[in-house]
Amino acid sequence: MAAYFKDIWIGVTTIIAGMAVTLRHMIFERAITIQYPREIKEMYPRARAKLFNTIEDCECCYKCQRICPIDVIFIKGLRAGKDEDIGLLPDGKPKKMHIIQFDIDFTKCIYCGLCVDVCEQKSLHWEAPQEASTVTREELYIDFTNISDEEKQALIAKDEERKKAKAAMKKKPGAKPGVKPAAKPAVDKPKKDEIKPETD
Amino acid sequence: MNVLTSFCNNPANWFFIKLAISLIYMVGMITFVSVFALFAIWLERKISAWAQDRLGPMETGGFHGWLQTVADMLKLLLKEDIIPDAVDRPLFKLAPYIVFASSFAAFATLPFAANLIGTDLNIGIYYIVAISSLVVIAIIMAGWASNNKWSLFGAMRSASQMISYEVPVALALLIPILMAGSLSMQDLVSVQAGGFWNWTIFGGGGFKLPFTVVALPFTVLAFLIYFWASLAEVNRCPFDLPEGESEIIGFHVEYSAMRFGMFFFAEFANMFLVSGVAVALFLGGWYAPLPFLEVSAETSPVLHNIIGAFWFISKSVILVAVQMWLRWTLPRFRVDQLMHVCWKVFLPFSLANILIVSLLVVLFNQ
Repeated sequence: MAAYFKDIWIGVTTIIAGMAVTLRHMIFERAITIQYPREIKEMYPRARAKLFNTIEDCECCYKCQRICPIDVIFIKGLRAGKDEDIGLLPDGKPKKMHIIQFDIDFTKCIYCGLCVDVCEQKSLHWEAPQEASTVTREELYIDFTNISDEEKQALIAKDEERKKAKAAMKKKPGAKPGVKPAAKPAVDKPKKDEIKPETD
Repeated sequence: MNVLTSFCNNPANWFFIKLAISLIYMVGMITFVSVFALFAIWLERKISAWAQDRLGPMETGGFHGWLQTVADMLKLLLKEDIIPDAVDRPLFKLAPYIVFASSFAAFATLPFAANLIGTDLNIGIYYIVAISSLVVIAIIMAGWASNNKWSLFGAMRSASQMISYEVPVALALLIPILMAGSLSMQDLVSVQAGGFWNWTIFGGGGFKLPFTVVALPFTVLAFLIYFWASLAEVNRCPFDLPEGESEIIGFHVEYSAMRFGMFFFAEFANMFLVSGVAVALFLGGWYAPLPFLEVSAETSPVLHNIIGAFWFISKSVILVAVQMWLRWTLPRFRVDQLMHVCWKVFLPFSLANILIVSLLVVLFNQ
C-alpha cells in the first residue's frame, strides 16, 4: 500500500518537475534557430570556405600556382619598368609586377590550403562567407584582378614595346642569344577564355 | 417589415424560425470549430517549438507564420484522396465524418455565454459524455474498414483506452454535478457566479465560503482526474497511443489527404470540447474571474453575452495550451501503464472522492 502511494507521489512530482523544465524553456530560454536568409551566422575565422586574394598585396611570385596540386590557379604578371612606381608590398619591398590575370577555378579547387601556406605576403588567404555557393559554374571561376580590360591591353602593349626595345638594345652590342637577361616569367598558361570550365 | 413581424407572430411558423436559428447557430459553430482547429494546430507547433528552443513556423503570412495551417489545410484539400483497393469502401469513407460529427455534436450543449448555447438540455453534461463516446465506434470503423492489421490493432488500442477512460471522466464530472444538483450545463455554470472563489475547482459550486475551504482538496482532485482522463479521451499525449504516427502505427495509417485531415480536425475540436467542459464545470464557465470584469445582463444583454463568450473561450484556450504543454513534456505511456493509471489510480481515487463530496453535500448544502 505504501508503495502504491509512493508511486503516485513520484508520478505527480516528476510530472510537475518536467513541466517546470519545459516552462523554463518556453519562457526564458531563447530559440537557437537562426533565420538564415535574414540573419547570417558569423562563420568561424579559421573556416576553409573560400580563397581570397588581396590583389594589392600580391607579389606575383607564382608560388601558389606552382604548389597547387591540381593547377587551378592561373596567374599572368608583367614586369614593371625600373622607373615605374606601383606601390609597396606588405613587407615594405616595392612591387615589381603588374598582375593582369589572377584566376582561381573553384569548380576544381580541393581546398587543401597549400597555396595559403606558401604565400609570403599573406595576400592569398581563407575567407569565411556564409554563402559560397553559386547558380552557375562560371561564377565559380573567379578573377581577383582589379584592372579593366583597357588597362590590361595598355599594359600588354607597353610590355611588348619594351621587350622590342630591349631586344633591339641587345642586338646592337651583339649579345649572345643564349643569355636572356630579363627571363620572362611563365606566361604561357592558356588564356582565360580557353580554360573556362565546361558548362553543361 | 410588417410581413416579417406577422410571419414571426404566427405560431404555425415558429418551427421554421427555430430551424433557421439552429441552422445559423450550427454554421457559426462549424466556422468557430474550424477556425479554432487551425489556430490550435498553429499554437501546438509554436508551443512545441518554444519548448524545444526553436521558433516554429515563421514565414507564411508574415507575422510568426500565422497562415501556416491555412496553407497546410489547402494542401490537404488539394492532395489526392487515395482509397486502397482492399478497404471496405463505405465504412472507410464514412468513418472520418462520424469522428468529426460526434465531436461536433457535443458542442450543442457547450455554454459559450448566458444565451450563447445550442440548447440548454436538462441533461446537458450527460448528453456530452454520451455523444462523445460515439468516436469509439468511428475509430473501430476506421481501423476495421482499412483492412490492415496495424490499423485494426491501433483501433483496438484506441477503443480500449477511450472506453476505459470514460469511467474516471464520468466519475470526476459527478463531483460538480453533485455540488450543483443539476445536469444542465447552464445550472452547472450559474452556481459558480460571483468571482473565482466560487468556482467549483476552488470548492465553490453550491458551497458558500466557509465550507469551500473544506471542499477545496476534493474538488481540485476531481478537476485533476477529469483533466488527465480527458487527455486520454481525446488521444492526447501522454495517452496518444492510438495515433503514435511514427512509432506505433495508429488507426489512420491508410487515410490520406482530407480524410486524414478530418481526424486531425476532430482531435482539435475534441480538445476544445474537453477544455470547454472543464471550464464550464470547474472553472466558472463564462463568468469572469472577478465580478467587476463582466457586464451584467441588465445593462446590456448583447455585451453580457460577448464578454461571457470571451471569458469562456479564453479559459478554454488556456486549458488547450496546458494540454499542449503536457504533450511536449511527457513521454508516451505503455499500454499496461495506461490501464494501470486508469483502473488502479483514477478509479479508486474518484470513487473515494465521490463518497466524501456526497457527505459534504449532505452536511453543507441545505
